[in-house]
Amino acid sequence: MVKYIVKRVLYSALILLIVSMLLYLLIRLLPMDYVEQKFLSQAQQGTINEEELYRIKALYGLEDSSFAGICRGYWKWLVAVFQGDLGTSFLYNQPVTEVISDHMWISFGIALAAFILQYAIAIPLGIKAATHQYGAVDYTTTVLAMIGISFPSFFIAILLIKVFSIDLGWFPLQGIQDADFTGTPLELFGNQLWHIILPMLAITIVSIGGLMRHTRTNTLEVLNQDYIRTARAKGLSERTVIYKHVFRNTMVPIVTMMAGVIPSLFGGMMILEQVFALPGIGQIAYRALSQGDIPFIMGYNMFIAILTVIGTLLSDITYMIVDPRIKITK
Amino acid sequence: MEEFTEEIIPERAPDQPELAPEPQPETPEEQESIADKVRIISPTRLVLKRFFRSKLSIVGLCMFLFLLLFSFIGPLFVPWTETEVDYSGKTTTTIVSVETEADGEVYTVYMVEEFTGSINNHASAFTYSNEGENSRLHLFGTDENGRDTFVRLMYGGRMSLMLSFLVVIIYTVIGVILGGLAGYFGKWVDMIIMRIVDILNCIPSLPILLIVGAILDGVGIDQAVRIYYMLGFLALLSWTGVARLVRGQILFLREQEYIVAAEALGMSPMRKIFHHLVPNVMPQLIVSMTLGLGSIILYEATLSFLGLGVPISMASWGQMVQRATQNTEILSYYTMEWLPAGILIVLAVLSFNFIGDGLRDALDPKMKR
Repeated sequence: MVKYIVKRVLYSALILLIVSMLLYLLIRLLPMDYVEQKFLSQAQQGTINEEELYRIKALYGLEDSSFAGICRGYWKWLVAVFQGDLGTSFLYNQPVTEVISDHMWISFGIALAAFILQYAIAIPLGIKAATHQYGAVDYTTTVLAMIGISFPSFFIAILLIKVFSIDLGWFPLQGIQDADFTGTPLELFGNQLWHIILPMLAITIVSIGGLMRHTRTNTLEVLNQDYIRTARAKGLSERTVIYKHVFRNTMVPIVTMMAGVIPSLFGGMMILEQVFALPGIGQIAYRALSQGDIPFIMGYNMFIAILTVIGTLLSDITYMIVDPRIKITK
Repeated sequence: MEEFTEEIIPERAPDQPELAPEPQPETPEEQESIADKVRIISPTRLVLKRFFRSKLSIVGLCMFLFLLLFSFIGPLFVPWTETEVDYSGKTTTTIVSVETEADGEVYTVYMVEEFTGSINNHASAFTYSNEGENSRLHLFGTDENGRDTFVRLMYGGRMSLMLSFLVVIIYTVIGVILGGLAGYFGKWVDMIIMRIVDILNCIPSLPILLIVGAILDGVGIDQAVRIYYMLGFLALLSWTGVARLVRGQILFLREQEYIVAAEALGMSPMRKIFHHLVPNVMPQLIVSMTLGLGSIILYEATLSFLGLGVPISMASWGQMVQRATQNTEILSYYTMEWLPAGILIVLAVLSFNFIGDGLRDALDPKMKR
């Protein structure tokens, strides 16, 4: 198993290397680099000349846009990464790692809350739907799950804002806390909780359907197994059969799915954070993307890609641990 | 439901009617003589039967047909066009209360102010343009630029449906070809193609699309055609799922007897892949294409939402919803300008999900119902 993991990690590292290369090339192809965007008005008014602009670009390492220059820039970035330095963000004037860790936790908190809510609702409902297949519960949950999946995240966000904060006035419109908030840390926490309820609901509605259907399909599969028939034949009550025998086996693929959500827990939600004006990592990344902040874009994307790799690796490993029937084939 | 046993006969050539010719009983007695009611049903017929047995698939199909008619035939019946601005003018009346103090008492004075603009913007639903006798109906009102919302919904639908079909077809073709090659030839071909798949899976698509959008703007691509390039790029990123599916199926099918027989007959690899292997992957492909249509519609809406879709003069569902986030006034007071667009996105995606789901159940040979 150790050999398998080492092999997988090495292979993933190779993939990440190629992905980072492609990404760097693409960003450097952006028509307006960070410096040009920042000094656009000065350049138009003529208060800054070509020479000065070139000097500033050289400071940021952007002076050479030829292919060789891009390759050199990439090499510099790569060497720094191996020394544990992701560089300094142009836009935020802070080390990239610091920017990420500053804003990551807001996104993480919201995503985690939504994640718990999702599992708490989806698993019981999914099992219920499967045990009462083709019944009223089954149809209702299937239809609701499908409707949830079909919502674009921005639309559900706007709907929630319209209904719950504009019309009913129950929740605040935007932001992570009241702008003029003063109070004890506990009150601050309460205030923030108040602000993240709508974003949390939006995430839950959009992603609960997939989980519910997954649970339902798995439960149905388990219900058709021989050992369930045996359990019933032994004369166990339906409750015991479902909550002890079916439930445990249903959980196998679902537990492994949990590891797969790691990137979405930490990566932030680019669109929802925009709509709700939350200062999470997604919104920070969106701003960096639109302004050509190369170190941050590279750092952020590598962060996500590494999380994805870790997520899939972890879910494979948990799968092997949880289900002893699975054997490594490679 | 009538009792009969179903016997599956091999699929006929596509140009023949999909109904297997049944012996038509001429008299009631003769009908009784085949009382065993052994009916021969072709696989296509069987699938259709199963498909239409599920209520959700029928609902999905109806929604899809409605959207199709709405967006392609609908504009013929609406007296407005996509970019036409209602210049018939609009009079807005505002009441301003002013408190004045006179003779030691406070009076509240209400002033009625009338303002006439040249554009009939933000008209409410079911109102007419102020063009005298031949005034035209704004079924859903107008947006802030005085364009008819209802007709723009239709044109937005055209864009969404057409683009999603285009993208899905492109990436399915790429996926089938590359997946087929990888699965059939194996060895180094498989190695290279699957490594590309792994790399593409690791690339986060939304950030990449944002960058590509910015690059296209810089290169000076016309905004009206930018969305085609963007979605073309999306197609280049999304064929991996199809390729994996086709490859997996072909790896499995390659070991089947009929392929061994085809090999023994000396068929060319191309003929084997595209005449014998790919048709057997078709069921899964159709399902994944239908579900893919929904996700591409979501992508197109998201891109429009981020301002990377069609230019502002052209209509798009995502962009209509986006205006509500930029302008709180529209969000709070002019619901008709963004709510129908959002609902239509949901309807479109939902219809494809229902149809795809119904097809998956219908095409699954293990399903007994």
